[in-house]
Amino acid sequence: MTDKGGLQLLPENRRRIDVKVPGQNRPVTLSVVVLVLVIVIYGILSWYSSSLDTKIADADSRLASIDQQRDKTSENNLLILSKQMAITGQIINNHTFWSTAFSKLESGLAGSVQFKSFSAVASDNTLHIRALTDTYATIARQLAAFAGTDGVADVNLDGVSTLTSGKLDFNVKLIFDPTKFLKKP
Amino acid sequence: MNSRRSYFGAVLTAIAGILFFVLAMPAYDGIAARRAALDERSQLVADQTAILAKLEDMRKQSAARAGDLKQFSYVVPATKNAADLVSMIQALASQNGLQLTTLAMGANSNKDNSPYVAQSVDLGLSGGYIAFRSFIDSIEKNIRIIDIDTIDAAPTSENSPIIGFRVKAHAYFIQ
Repeated sequence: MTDKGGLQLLPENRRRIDVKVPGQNRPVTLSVVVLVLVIVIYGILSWYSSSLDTKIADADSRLASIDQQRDKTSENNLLILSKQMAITGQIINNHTFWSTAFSKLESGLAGSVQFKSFSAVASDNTLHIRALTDTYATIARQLAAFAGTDGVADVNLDGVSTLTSGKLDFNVKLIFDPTKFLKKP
Repeated sequence: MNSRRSYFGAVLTAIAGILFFVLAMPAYDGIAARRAALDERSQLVADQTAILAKLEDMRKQSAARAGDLKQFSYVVPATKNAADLVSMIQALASQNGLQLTTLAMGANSNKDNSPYVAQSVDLGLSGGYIAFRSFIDSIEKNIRIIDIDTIDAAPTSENSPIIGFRVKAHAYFIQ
């Protein structure tokens, strides 16, 4: 560089002059703050997540402990008992009492009527009776007695035949209401 | 210089955004799932603890009434108990003066998926009518419930006082 009489017109070395502008670092500062904030949030979430994992593991171990405390045999017995209690009431309600039916029939039986056979079917609500007697009047009385028996819904005379002995062999079908005829009085 | 700072700031913000979506958001979602799992387990623990306490209470009560419950269990037993059924029927027949001539047990039937099974029993008996009435009374009062489905009666021979009875019935047990 020319030096005229000690006067340097242009500086030989350029000096960098930093001009500080207020707020020039704000973008960097803000972005650092945001970054730190994200990292802090992630840290908190990780810590909380880890804490929840510990609690879940604790709950799992408590569940396993409860399962070990169970007495399976006792539970099974209680389950059977519970079923028995539920079923028994239902079965007792539907329990059939043929002794009631026989008592009712016996009380209305005419003295000269002799049963030869009978066949009773609960599912059909029918009772077939084959009997012997002396007269048609007795048969008529017997039919009336059957018809008047509590629980007997219908009486059908299926047939009458006269035997060589002179006796009358007759077949009767009774249709009954099981809720009255087969229930405990 | 200012533009470099701006670029640096933008890069840092971008990194922060990426980290937020890559790390923080999945962690947050994971927390929601973990909280749901923990709530479910806590509820299970509470329920099972309560059930265990109830069961223990019931076990104590049943132990205190073991005798009654044993009797009660004969009404509708937990198993088929065919051997008991046979010996019981034979005992009832002989106690009431009837002769057990035939005995057959049929297939088990279960109506409408009911919680019990009906075990069919087919009996052949011979004896007098009074004895048969007494037998029916005994069957009806027997601790194990037996329902009679059909009864057929006829003299074993013409004018014989001995009557042959055929009884179809069913007992119950829990399936």
